[in-house]
Amino acid sequence: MTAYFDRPSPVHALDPRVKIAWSVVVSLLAVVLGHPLLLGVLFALTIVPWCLVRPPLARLRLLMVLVGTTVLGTMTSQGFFYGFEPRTELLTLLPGLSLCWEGVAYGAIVSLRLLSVLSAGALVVFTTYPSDLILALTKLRVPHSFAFMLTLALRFLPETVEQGKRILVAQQLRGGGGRGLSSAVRRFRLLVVPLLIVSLRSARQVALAAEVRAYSSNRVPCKDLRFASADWAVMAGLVLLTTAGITAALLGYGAALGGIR
Amino acid sequence: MTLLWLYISSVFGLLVAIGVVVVTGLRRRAFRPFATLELATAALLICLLHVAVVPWQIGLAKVPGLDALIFSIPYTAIFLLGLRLVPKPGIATLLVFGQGIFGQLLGRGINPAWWPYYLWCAMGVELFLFAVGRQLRSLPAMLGAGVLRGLIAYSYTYLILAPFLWHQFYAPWYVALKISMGMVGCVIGTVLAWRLAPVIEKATRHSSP
Repeated sequence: MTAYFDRPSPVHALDPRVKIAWSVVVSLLAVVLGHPLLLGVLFALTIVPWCLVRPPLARLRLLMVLVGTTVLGTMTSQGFFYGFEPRTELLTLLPGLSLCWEGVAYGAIVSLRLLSVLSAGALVVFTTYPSDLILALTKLRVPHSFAFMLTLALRFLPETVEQGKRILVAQQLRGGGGRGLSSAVRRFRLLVVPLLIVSLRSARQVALAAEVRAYSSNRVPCKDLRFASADWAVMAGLVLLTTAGITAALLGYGAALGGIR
Repeated sequence: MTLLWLYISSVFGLLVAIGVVVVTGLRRRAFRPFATLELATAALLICLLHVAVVPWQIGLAKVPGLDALIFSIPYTAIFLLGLRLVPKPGIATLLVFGQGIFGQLLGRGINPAWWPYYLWCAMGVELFLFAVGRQLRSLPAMLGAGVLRGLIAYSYTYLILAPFLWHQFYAPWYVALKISMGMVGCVIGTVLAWRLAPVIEKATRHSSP
């Protein structure tokens, strides 16, 4: 859904470490800010880089589904299970289980937080090639064997999905189809064991290939990351944004725990 | 401020837990580097953990109350299979932390505020495995590992992370319901893993690359 999308854009050209910093800053501000207006501004800020990236419509639609379900789920769960007073009841499902206005409104504010973090995080993933993200993590002192494992996991992902599809098709050809919940559970049960076995065999092959090619943790990456002037400029902007956010929180616009401002 | 201090205390608690795991491992001379095959197996399991959870993110898991149950079944099953396949100190950390970072790389973006959560789950299981031996050859031992991870994961999420990071506050009975549903999912996942483990182990033992 938020997989890498290749298109030349100023956001794509930024250093992955800057994009990680962007994601961290937005997460921090989402925690410290509390006023709905400031949270709205934060969410609007996270939308700006998306305008530079111009994602394709199909991806946008999928993102909208994710956004919609997140907002709806948060507003509903907060509406029904809001634990603070006062509670103005809008709808009663069962005795003791009612939708309250304060919970729905608080859910909308919480959604702004979630969407800001989601938007900033998805932008990083959408505009950075996964191996570049891993390289950035290595630059941030993540152990090499851990980075190697993440690279392998990325390599296994499409293969595992493909294997799963292949096994399902083979089972359907042998008359393993059918509709309904019970047949879905049966198909799932029949899928898991062969998928695990085939995938583990594939992992063995990859490990053998790596050892044959003298894999060791003392590798020198063929690509290096360097900060350009645009990266420094964005980092300066992030420092300013963080300072402004923390100052606003200290001035009384910080997060209200469980209440609505 | 209380939540901030609670979160900071959890980070300090985590450092202590990591210290205990490291000291225990060093005293028992249990730490050995992972072979390439073990790293590849862990990578595959991380990928499977991700694949097992992703399809539910838009569907039934958005129904309040059901999410913990739905996520925990496949996650616990694959996690415990991983512990059986690579019985080495550190594998729980590789799997839980690795899957967390992998999920962040592919979907949510890198967010270090979540890292203590992954590490708490991992350290809990590492300590448990030091206590029972690393083999997990009995159903109670597997149940212990599965349920402990679930208990730490859901308690930490709903009591510390959700209120602190998302400012989501729920009625206490609802939090208790969510944690209980998660635990039920963990038990079901453990039983699944218990049934699958011998088949998978046998198949991998006798398979050539």
